Amino acid sequence: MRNLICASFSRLWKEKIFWAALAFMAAAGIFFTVIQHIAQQPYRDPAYPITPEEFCFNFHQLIGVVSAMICCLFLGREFQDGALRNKLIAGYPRWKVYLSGLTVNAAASVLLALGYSLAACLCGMPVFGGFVVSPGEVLLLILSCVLYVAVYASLFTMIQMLSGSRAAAVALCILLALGLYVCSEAIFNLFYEPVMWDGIYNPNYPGDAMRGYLEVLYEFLPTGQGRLLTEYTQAAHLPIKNVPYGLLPCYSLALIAFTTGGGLLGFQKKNIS
Amino acid sequence: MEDCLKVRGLTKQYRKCRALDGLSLTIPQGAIYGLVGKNGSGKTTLIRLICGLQQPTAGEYSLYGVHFKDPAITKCRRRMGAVVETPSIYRNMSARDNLKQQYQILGIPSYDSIDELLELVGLADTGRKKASHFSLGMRQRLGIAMALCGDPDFLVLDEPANGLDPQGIIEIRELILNLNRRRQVTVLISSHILDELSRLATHYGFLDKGRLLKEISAADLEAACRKSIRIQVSDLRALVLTAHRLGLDCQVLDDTTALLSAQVDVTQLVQALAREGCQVKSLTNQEESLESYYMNLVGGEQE
Repeated sequence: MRNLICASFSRLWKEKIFWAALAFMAAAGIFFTVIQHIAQQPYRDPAYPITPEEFCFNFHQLIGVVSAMICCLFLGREFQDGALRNKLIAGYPRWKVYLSGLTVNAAASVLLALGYSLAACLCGMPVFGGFVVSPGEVLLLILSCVLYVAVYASLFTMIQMLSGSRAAAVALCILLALGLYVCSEAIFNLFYEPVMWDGIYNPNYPGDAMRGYLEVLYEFLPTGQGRLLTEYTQAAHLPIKNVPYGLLPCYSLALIAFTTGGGLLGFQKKNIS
Repeated sequence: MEDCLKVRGLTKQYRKCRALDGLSLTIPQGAIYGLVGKNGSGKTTLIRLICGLQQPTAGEYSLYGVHFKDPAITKCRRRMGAVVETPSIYRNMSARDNLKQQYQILGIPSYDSIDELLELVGLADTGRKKASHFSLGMRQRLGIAMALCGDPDFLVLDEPANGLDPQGIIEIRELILNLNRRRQVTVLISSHILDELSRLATHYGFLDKGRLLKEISAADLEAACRKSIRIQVSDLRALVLTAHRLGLDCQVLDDTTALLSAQVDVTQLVQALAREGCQVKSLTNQEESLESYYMNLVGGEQE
């Protein structure tokens, strides 16, 4: 499988769309950090200043769509140009072909997120100072981010490998990324709904049991995790109390295992033409 | 000698369509096996199955004696190179970069032989030009070069002459013959250009509706193809009598022309006719072609 991964990486470095996406993420990192400085800094409670933990991991709004594009355009080329056949004819079992694709997609997505973070840190740290949490917590945040970004890659790899069509997969994955974002935002807004409103029961309140399920779902979704991790230092302001930050990587791992397992099963039976 | 490929009762069902229906064939090592069949006869499906791109619904095949379900088949496939339908190349890369990719996939550490390979398929001067700007013929050549990476012992070519100009067809034919004769590469080749195939193949498999109608060696096919002489004379009656006397089958075509089958001693025939005062106006050798043999086999249904 090492040969497959090496070949895919050498192809990734030649993909102009990947470098364009990396440049876009870096530019976005700088842009959003500057915007945060201009728009939020004057109005922030001095007790809760803007921290690097906020702007450094603030790529969660973009990474889904950008990762969907890169994963599908990169891996989809194998289907579109028929080059996937070369790997199968060369005798590689399908699971190796699948996992090598997933590895490179995950690495590409993490590099895009890293591009954002590095640019944001280089631009923001001179103004806002360094990390305020302990190195152990920074490592946990980095691990959680890497894994939730890998969840996106795993999801998009599955869709691309099973659909076979590059254009259809790109469209589907972008819609899915947007759908997940809208979905998690809707769930997040529900958490702000009070039980009573002026002494009247609030019909929008989801109920205690449902709220519990929605919290777990929110913590499971990569879009939800992205927001929770960005607001790690502002957890006191979150509508979810006692976010299990230690469990977020486990949730991501479970999602990666689930999507990869399903993708492998489907790809094993897929007729390649 | 061990057979290169042995297929037994191979069946492939796509929903309601049975693309292969209990197909069996054997490709001996060192052969150039020509697959002949009309569109939808199952040629490409057979190629996809033996390349591991799809799984058969029923039946089995073995490659160099290794059953297709044996995990060792993956190693056997390393001895294979294939061009299935369209060439499998990255269109955003140059010919050289495409070959580098294939070398990496195959785990070949040195790129030294890439120049030789590009030279072999006539793409040495393409430089940094991307494959997307290649002509169909150039892509086909690059596809063949990709299949040749790793010096395969078994080469599978699905319609390799597609998109090639006459010179390109000749070059690819020479390349295949060269590989077969010098490196003993076994070749499975499907083609619609039967005349071209007849210049290459040492064995033929005739497919129709997913079944193998006939498997025959080129030598046997040559023997099976009836040879005849088309003769035009001034006196047809004299010709018929002479042919009868010499024990030749004579089929009258018109007032002056007839077909004489079986081996004909031309000198003896012309002298005998001269003695009867019959003048020979023209004499041509006529051989049944691969095309007519195939048409007879499938019952004359044209595509």
